[in-house]
Formats: sequence, structure tokens, C-alpha cells
Amino acid sequence: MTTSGDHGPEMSLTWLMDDETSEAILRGDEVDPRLERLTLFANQVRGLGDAPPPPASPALQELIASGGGDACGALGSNRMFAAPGTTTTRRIASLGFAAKLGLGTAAAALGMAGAAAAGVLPDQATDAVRGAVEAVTPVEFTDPTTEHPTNFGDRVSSDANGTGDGERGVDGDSISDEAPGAAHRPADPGQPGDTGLDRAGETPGAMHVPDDAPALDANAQDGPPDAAPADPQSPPTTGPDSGGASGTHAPPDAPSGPSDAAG
Amino acid sequence: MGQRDRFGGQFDAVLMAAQDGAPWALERVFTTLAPVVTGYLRLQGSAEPEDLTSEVFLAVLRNLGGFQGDESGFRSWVFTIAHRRLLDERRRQGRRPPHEPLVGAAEDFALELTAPDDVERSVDRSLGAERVRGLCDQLVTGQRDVLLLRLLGDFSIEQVATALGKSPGAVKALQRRGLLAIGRLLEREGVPL
Repeated sequence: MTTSGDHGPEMSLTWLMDDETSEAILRGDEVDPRLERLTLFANQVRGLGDAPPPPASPALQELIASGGGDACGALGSNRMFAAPGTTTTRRIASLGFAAKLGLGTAAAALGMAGAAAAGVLPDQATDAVRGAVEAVTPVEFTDPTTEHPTNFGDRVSSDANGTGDGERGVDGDSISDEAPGAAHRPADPGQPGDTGLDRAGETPGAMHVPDDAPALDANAQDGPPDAAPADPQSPPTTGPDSGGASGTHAPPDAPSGPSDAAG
Repeated sequence: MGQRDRFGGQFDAVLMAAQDGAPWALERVFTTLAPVVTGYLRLQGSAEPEDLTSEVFLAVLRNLGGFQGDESGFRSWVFTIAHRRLLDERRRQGRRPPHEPLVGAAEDFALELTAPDDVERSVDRSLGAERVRGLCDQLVTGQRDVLLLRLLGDFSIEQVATALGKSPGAVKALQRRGLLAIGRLLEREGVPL
């Protein structure tokens, strides 16, 4: 059996050390003689703060001599008080030389391209920027010398001035070959009144039309769309088990519909 | 624990002048707080405590314009920067540097601190500093952080808790255990400070 006294001085230190005592040690106040070494330790540590200041690095000396540079003042770069964009600036500042060079070139190219596109640069500068940008990007500039034909407005369509049909204005029957999009216009745009119903077999769904589809007649069209087959003993051609996705949806034992009477 | 007034009651005037870019005020900030920052970094095992101190004050002086608060808050801010720089240094090195031999390190430290008018006193202080550093080196990181921030940074319990992201109760426990650990080490070594 052990008692607290068997642990020796370490246990006594534990018993002596409460929050108030530890605060007194850190303050350098008088404490129990068994804790005096700790007070000396605290004083030694605190005494390091009374040493002479270390030599400042050249960069720090320069900063002090220059009055803190332009970083001091109301817009310091402290994160809590950073002005908008400061973080971006610091990130850019932290990039390597090659990255900065690339970023600067890209920014310059973007700015020049914008200026060239806006037409605010002199003609020669615009040509140079356009050539440089087109050489490295898929961007294509419209040639200002060909964007508007030199004969723009010299000739007026006969439809427009009414010399063709005696009525001013375009009736839509024909479109000038000089109009925009002429290269993509079909040769035969179709005629008014042509609905295209006679060419339904050419549609993508034509392959699903059954070969022996009964001919349409007025009576059949009046019956229900899922009329039962004429022979009640024959299996249904389509149904839930047949896997067909189209056709009649009547179950095999569906009652005869009115079309039986018609057949 | 009472906090020391290291600026002699002139903190507000010094800060205002420093924020306006007065070189004398910037130098005053450095000379007043650099010793405690260097001591903190040294006892935390920094490989180059003086170089790191300059890095800390480069950051402090560059960001001075955005600071608002009293001397206690300013010291807390400076030490927070110092602690972050210390962690950065440790990450760069990948591990804590091995402790230097006591004699050689003491001689180097003595040379660094030598003042022409008080060589003997500087040597005495350097020897004590190395012994204190050896003791701090054997503490658990949390205990060392708490004791050094309280003793050199003049942090309150609450300020330490905020800086280290711990509760005040946890800080008190670390402080108590740290002092107990130091006491046990001193008793085992039987070496007077």
C-alpha cells in the first residue's frame, strides 16, 4: 500500500500548484519555498525581453527609414482591413517570374484586343493587334474595309422601288441574291399551299408503317382505335406480353367492341 | 497577471506616428517589442530567431495602417504574427531543429548579445537563456506555447485562449502542468537556475 507521501517531492508540487499559485509564479510573487525555482524560471524567461533588440535586417532597416513605405496609412494590407482586390494583388505578387510574365502578356493582349475591337486605336495599330491576336487565338476580326461594300446604296431593288410589279415593297416571293445568307438558302424554297402531306412516307417514321395496313375508310375511322381483331380465337398481334411498344392496348379477353357488329 | 507597459505610457502617440510613417516611431515599435519577440522565437526553438524577428516586424510595420487597439491588443497582434511565422519556419524545415550544444550555442548567443558596456552581464544572461531554452525544449508544445505567451507576450489567459484556439480552462490546465513539468525537471537535474 502506498500513501501520498511515497511519491516524494513531485506529489507535493502537484498539491501546491493550483491556478492561483501558478498565476503568482508567473507574476514573480513570493510563493511557497518549494516553488521558488519556478519563480526563478519565470523571471529568467521574462528577463529575455529586457535584452537589447537584435539587429534589423537590411530590408527592415530600409522599411523603417522610408517611413513604412506606402503600406502604412488607412489602407494597410492587414487582412481584416484589406481593401477589395488586395488579396488578388498579393496572389499575383506571389507568382513566379514566368507566371507574372505570362499573366502580364495576356492582360496586355486582352486590353489591346479590346481597344482594337472598339476601334479606338489608330489604323496601323489596329492592323498590328489584329494580326497578332489572330495568329495566336481563334478570334477573327471583321475587316473594316469589306464590312460595308463600297457600292452600298448605289442600286435599289426593283421590288423595293416598285418598277417590277408596280407596287413598292417586297412581297416575299423572291429574295435578292445579294441579300445576307444567300449562300445558305435552298434552291427550291417551296411553293405556297404545298403542305408536304404527299411526302409523308419520306419522314423518319415511315419505316414503322405496317406493309399490310388496312386501307382507311370512313366506317373504320368511326370505330374505337383499339378495335378487336375480326377472329376472336387468333392471338393478339400486340399486347403486354408481345413487347410491342405500339399498336392496340386491349387485353386478350377484351370484350368485343362495336366494330364487331360493323365487321 | 499584470501586463507591462513597454511603451512608457506613450503607446497611442507612438502608434499614431508610426501609422503616419514617422521613422522614429517605427523604430520605437521595433526596439520595444523585438527583444521579447526574439526571446519567444528562440525559446520556441527557432533556427534563426533574429532573422525571423526581422520578418515578423516587416509584416507588422507593413500592416500597421490597419491596426486599431491598445498596447495589449497590439502586443497580442505582434505575437500572433510571430507565432505564425514560427509555424511557417517549422513547416519549411519539416521538423524542429535539433537543440544546439549548450556551450557552443551559449558562446554564439553571447556574441550576438554583447554590449560594449556590459559584456559580463550579457554572458550571464546568455547562459541563463540557454538553460531556460533547454528546459522549454522538454515541454509539451501546448505547455510551452502557453507559458511563453504569458511570460514574454504578457498575454492574459483569455488572449492565449484566443490565440491558440483553446478554452480558458484548457489554457489554465496547460499552464499548471507546464509549471509542474518545469519543477520536476529542475528537481531531477538539481541544477540551480
